[in-house]
Amino acid sequence: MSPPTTFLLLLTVGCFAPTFEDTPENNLRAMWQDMDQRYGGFATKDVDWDASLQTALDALAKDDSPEGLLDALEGMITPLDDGHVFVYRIDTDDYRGSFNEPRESETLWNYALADAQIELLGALDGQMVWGRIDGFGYVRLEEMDLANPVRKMRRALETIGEVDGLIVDVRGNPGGTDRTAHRIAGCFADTSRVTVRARLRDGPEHDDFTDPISFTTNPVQACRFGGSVAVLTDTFTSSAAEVFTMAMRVQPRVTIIGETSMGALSDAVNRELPNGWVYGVAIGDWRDGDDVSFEGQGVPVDIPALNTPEEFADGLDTPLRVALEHLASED
Amino acid sequence: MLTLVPMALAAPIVDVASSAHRFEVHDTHQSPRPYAIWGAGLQARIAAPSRVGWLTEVVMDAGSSTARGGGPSFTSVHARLSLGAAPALWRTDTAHVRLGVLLTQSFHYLDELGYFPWAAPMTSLDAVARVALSVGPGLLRGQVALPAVGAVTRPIWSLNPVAPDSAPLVEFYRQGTRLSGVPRVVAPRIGATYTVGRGTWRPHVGIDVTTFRVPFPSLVRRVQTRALVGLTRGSRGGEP
Repeated sequence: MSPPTTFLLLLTVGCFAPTFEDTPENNLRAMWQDMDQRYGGFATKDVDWDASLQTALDALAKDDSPEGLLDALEGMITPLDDGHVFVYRIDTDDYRGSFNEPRESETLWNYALADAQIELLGALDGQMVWGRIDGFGYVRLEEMDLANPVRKMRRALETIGEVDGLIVDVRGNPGGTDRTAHRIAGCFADTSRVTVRARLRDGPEHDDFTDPISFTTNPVQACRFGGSVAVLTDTFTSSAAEVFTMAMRVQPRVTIIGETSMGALSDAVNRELPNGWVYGVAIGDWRDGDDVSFEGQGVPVDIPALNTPEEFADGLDTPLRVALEHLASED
Repeated sequence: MLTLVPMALAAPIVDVASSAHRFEVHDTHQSPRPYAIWGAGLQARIAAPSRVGWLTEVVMDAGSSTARGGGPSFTSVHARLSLGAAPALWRTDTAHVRLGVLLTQSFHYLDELGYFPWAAPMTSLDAVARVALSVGPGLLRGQVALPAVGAVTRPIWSLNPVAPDSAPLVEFYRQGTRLSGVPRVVAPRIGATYTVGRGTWRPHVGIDVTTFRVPFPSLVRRVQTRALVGLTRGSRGGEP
């Protein structure tokens, strides 16, 4: 090999010596450390993260197979009780979340149940459904990642026509982008309000955060609706859909009905373990305009309403019915 | 005011080449996972040296790569624009050496690394040495460039720049750009090309190594080694 080639190869190797040994324990420690340095929920949750590491290492010592590693990682993140935190083993398609579901809500409500109650007027597949029910409007937002959200809301509201009250259903909405959430909430805003204050982790210590960033919900005249509004939420209303709920709950003539949301409001990123598995990390501390955190607790409702198993079996949608009664009482 | 008009340009040197490349990337900030990536691409390079010492160079290469041992595929782009002064230091019939300073805008990009696009834009002042030697039947051209100080843009700590009224790309630059330099930023470029033949377009082979080591927000190390086979136009007078 010629001297220049040898020199270049040595330079390459010298600059980049191997730095990681792909063992189960090293993967576990890599995820623990990465979350230790980036997870924003430590600010609001009483979690002994060091103890979680030890518990996970003890579990791994008993079983260091891939299945054992996945179990150990799941045990490590479970105390965080965070809808944004998960670990996913790609090769076996095995997903383990950290969110401790309070009940089996998904069995007590679904889109078909709501659709059976309304006069359907329009839909954007997987994004929005709109219609009328008992003389009121109904808009279901199935995600918060809509392109041109104002135009879509305007179209839905124009199709619904003149109504005194509107139900905005974000049950089961897994989120999307905060920008969309604020734009849609702007349809119901009478004035500009700071509705979210967010801080992002910006260093390795648990209390290393940026200064708060204020998000303002501004009125959007193009889709303005000035009547009474009932927002339906449930346990699976999460992330940007919760930001939407926070932005809506301070607007006039808006009432939140249903079930407390998931409590996973922060922005989150997907991360990669050295072995190729994926995990999720919430990277910030999202609060409402009054600096109140709902992380891990969920955005509260003004009027609780849940389906019972019997009502679900009978094809009833109790929260929807409660919302209609509420709107009727507002007339 | 800087003016590039009175350059008395020599004929520009144009290299067009296919490349086989190997990346080693360990961006501890963006992914705990180290990557070794192999692939192939195309490069175009135009260098316009002037007899009074100005030097302009544009390099663009793009390729496709796969992680060693299976796993994700990548699209990689590397673009570089350099402007500066590199006057002839020494010139004989068989050797030509230039030394100088270049203002360089470089941009490395991988379409995804750890679920985010990986980009490392850098604007830097580079010390550069370029040499051309007549070796056997052909011309050996070499270059060493060392960015001394510059502005480097990396993702912020939380990876996701948030701003209520601004685009993520704008915030990537606004929040993630830092002034730094040697020894915190280590990004030398070394390359050599050997050209033979007599035609307008003459075949060449080459090798180059581009390194990038930055400690913020946490350590990122990237080494790109490329073998090049292509055609050269210009540089008949032995310009480096």
